[in-house]
Amino acid sequence: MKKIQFKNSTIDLTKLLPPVAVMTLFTVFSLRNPQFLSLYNIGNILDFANTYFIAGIGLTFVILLGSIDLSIGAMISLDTILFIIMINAIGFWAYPIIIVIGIVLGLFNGVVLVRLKIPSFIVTLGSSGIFMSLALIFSGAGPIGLVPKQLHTLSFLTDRIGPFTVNHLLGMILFIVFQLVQNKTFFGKTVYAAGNSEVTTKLSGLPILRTKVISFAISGLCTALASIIIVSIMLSAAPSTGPPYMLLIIATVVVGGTALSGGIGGVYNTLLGSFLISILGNGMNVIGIDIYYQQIIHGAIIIAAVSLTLDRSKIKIVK
Amino acid sequence: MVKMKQNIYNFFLMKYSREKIALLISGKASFIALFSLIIIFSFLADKFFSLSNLTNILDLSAILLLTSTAMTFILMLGSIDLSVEGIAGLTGVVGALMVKNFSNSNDYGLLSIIICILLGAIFGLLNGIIFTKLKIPSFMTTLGLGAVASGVCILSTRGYPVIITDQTIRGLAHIKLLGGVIPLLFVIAITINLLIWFVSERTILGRHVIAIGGDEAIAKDLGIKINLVKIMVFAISGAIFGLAGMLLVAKLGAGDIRNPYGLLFDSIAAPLIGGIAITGGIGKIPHAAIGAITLTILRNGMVLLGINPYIQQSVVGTIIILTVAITIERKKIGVIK
Repeated sequence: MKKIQFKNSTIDLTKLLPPVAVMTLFTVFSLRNPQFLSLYNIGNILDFANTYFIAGIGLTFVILLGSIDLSIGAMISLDTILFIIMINAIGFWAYPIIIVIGIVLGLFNGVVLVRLKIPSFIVTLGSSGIFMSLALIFSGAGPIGLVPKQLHTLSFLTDRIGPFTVNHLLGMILFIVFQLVQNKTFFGKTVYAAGNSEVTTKLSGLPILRTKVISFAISGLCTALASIIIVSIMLSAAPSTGPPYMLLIIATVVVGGTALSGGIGGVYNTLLGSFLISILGNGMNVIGIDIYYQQIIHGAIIIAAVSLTLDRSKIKIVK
Repeated sequence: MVKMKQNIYNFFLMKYSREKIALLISGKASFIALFSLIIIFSFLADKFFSLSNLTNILDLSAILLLTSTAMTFILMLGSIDLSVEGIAGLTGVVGALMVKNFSNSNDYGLLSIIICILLGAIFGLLNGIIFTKLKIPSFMTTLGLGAVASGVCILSTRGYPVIITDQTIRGLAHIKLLGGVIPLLFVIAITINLLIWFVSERTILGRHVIAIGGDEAIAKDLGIKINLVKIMVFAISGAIFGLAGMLLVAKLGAGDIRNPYGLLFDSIAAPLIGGIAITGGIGKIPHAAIGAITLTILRNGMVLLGINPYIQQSVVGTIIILTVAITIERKKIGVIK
């Protein structure tokens, strides 16, 4: 791609584009309606961005490998339902249990992928059917609300300090942790290597299968954490909770500049993507765009954003 | 024949393994799955093996057969199209507004079908052009344009369904040929499936599609006009999605954004069940038809058996994983991502 030539350094233009896109959207919306910058609305945007980001972290590693996880929507449905059932029954113990359940669901995807040797697209398409069934069975196909006496187990997550809540703190911690995992650990390096060339990585003797299983387990873990946040905001769960998130979360990861072909992008890109998607969704409401036009604009901007943010100099074949 | 003997010889020589099963049923797995399903359901559900249920299954599978045929053509390129629901929804509503309906006074009759096909083709063309010229992965392109199409669809009627009164269009879905056994919709769908099969087997475009799906870099070196082929395939598939949208209206009697709801999952699942590799280059178009009919029979049989509807989704999910695990040709694919 184009490079700006400075005295001693080259800055890759494509690396600058995602933050520029976020800033542009932010400025445009705040100029059109000052209410966009109000404390309450900023908190609102952060809430949405946080959910997309946390669910997107796990998917980032899966996509960096060149795989995909289509079961996130169904996993969110199942996780939220199990979480609210457990909170109603046993209170605080629901937190560790739902995290374990999330990891187990992710491991299921990973192990089936590695053992049966079938593409992740198909594994997760199939497993999303299984998870959705479980969600329907556990919930009886209806919404489940929180029992009032258990409200204290969830309400501390949404206590506001300015525009920030405890949820956002969790998002920030996860960002730091997974940024370190991605850049400083053996696992992170293997993910990038396998995403760039799986054959070469295999010949180098790196543990590809283990890396894949761990990536899917992280995806399950992050989906469980996102489910906790969704429940803490909605205080209820239904089988229809998850599916609308599915494509939004994939869009979050890809719009930030992570390539679906693998090896390019990272957790930081997902953070930018989550801001882009949530600012877009919120801003169109705030400046009063007709709801009937919003979906058209949404689709067009996703295409435009990917065409700007994707670093195609490294991708040879676009499929 | 010699090859078959070799296969049988190898089969008895090897120990029990996944390769052994794969060798025995290579290329035939989708047929075996279909026939074993028919036999199992015939024994378990007494209403299953009857002429009226056959008509029912053919009728139910027609639309899915159309969309999965188009999807297969794209999957063979190694790409994917997520705009099925958007395009079929939009063409359905536009088509419903063109014929006699309760919302306006148009009456273009069968001409509306041609307009739907053209509209679908235009969206397919847009998919192809954005995908190839801007070099955005087809997954994102079609996701975005699918949202645009359903947005335009919602915009055109403000989200309300358009109820049609045109009897010629409605009649398309009710006509049954051969003494009331084979629905016309199914005949249309299977004709298009065979037509696309012919295109993929006997024309330059079709061979180029398989070459690109097999190895795009080599196809490029050989001088195949990759972008042109991709754009044409997306346009053809878009046209078929458009037709499917209008036929859905004929079947349901109203144009609505929710008509094709759930079609995306099924139109990707059907080719996979039929044995088409999502990485491209492997499989034949009729396998999509077999996959579509298998999926419909599976759903129909589960209803006849009275299986809990909550569990049906997971049965379909499990079957997708299992059939692909058995049918996938791992040696041809190489790296599995």
